[in-house]
Amino acid sequence: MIPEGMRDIPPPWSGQRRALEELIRRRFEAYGYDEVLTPWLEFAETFAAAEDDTLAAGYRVWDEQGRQLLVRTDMTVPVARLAATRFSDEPLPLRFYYSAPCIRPWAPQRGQDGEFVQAGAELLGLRSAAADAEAVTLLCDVLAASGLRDYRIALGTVAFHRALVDSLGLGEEDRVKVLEALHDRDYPWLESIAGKSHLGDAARVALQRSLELSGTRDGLLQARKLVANAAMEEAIERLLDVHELVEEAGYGDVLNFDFGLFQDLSYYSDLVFEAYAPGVGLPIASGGRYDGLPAHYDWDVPGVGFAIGLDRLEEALEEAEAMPPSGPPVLTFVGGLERPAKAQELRRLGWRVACLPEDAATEAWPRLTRRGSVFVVEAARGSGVSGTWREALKYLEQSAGRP
Amino acid sequence: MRRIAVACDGEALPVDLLDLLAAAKLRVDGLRRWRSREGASLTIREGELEWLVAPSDDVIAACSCGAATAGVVGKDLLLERGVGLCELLDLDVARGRLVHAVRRDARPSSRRPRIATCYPHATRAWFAARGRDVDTLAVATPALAVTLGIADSAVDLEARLTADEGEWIVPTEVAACSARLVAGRQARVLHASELAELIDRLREAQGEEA
Repeated sequence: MIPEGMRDIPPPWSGQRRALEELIRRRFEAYGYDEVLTPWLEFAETFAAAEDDTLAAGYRVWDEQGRQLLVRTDMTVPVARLAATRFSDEPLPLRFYYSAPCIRPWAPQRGQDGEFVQAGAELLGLRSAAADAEAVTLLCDVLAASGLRDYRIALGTVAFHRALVDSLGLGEEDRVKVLEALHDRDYPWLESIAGKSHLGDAARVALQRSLELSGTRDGLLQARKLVANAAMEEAIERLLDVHELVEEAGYGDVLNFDFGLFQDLSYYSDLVFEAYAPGVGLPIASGGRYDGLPAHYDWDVPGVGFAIGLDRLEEALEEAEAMPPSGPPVLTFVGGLERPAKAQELRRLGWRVACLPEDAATEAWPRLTRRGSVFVVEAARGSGVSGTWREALKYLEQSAGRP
Repeated sequence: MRRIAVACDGEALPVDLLDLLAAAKLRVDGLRRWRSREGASLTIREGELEWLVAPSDDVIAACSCGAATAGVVGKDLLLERGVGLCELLDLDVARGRLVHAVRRDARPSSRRPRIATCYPHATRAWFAARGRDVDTLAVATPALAVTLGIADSAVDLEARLTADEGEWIVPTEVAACSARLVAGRQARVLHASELAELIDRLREAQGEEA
């Protein structure tokens, strides 16, 4: 038994996971991002500084000095902490990527796994729409490279709604309620608060309409009609710029706007985006701009990034029957244990060779081949499940197993 | 094809909901034929539209997992379990009140009040927001739990407390409930235009009825 929310990944899925990670890693590196590795445990205060309940609600342990440690619940916070403490003297921008497991308390009703792997990229030191566009383009590039075809990226803006709510002149209590309703995506409640807050008709309509605005670029142009202050206008112009640049990079057709898009994490400050694919109800990737986050670690630089949930991406790829192959098949060499020179020769040629003793029971072979990537040959006795060495190697070559 | 999931917990579908859906120019012939029968989940095909009639929990799950484009489910269940769903529209039908009810013969006690409810999460949240410490007792029939003396008071839909009418002190409203149009986060993005059209049609139908 293993704790709820955790999972084992046996072969061949473990091989597919590694192949997928490798493919993502190559795309990150193609954009000039360098890998960072951070520890499982951070000081609890590191996550507390991010001021987000979801991130702070992780598993805690105490060290021998009585300090609280937190099993990491997210990777953006450790990367921001690492960059602030180790790279603050480096020229900007900085580009980092990671592929690492995180753990949060299991919450099946929220569709949240206990352990999940985040593969993500963070671009620190640039505040421009062009930097936002690079993050979105990189995400599109990774998803396309993974073999996913039918995905969409929803772009939203936290800044627009904050500016809109500020423009309404609400009392503090109503302001908090409105932001809560926006975050909970509870539009009837929002309408009811707006109704009771003696808002003018124009303000009420703006609030309601803003959430319904979604779709393609035309929807975004509609949002311009709701602009009541410079901050709202700036947020919309920025989204348009991001759209234009991502379109120029070749991914305009996968973009949607969604003004009702709110991230579960509170450190996002402007652009937010999520990727969705058929067969998976929750986002397979999410990200955005988090300009205030590194400042919590005494380094005030802007940042934008995203993380792909590898488990959810795999679900989407399985749904689309597009999972990458798990690597070349294994040649099981019956009698190989007694003939190490021959086995080594094959390995030097690049084959994956697992050896069985010469007297291995024939009945055991089908069990090995059932794993999907194993091929059995009985070299020592001159005949095997699929015949001779020559036939075996031909089969492996055809199965993409050629070294 | 669109799939709309409608919650039905062993009772007939409300006529006013069916009328509203019909007024929004959605084909509901199959739903009307079904409404007089009780039974397990089923799907009804109406051209390009597929209705899924299922218990509330299944509707919430279908929407959350992206298996339904939209859903119709009561606010009471959303308060209890609907985390992460977008509540798009108050359909203003199947109205009711989630209430906290205390029996007239309840005796004061020094221990923490024990509240019987089939909405433990919503109940805890409601009392916590008022700074009151309570123990919740998750049961299927809260009123019965109070009658049997295993709980001090009940949180349930007001309509379900009427069997013992007169035995309850005027209940306090926890939340006003009605049927809501909901969608999962994935559907909001992958079916944005279909949802926008559905909301417009339902709003129009509500306007006509008003």
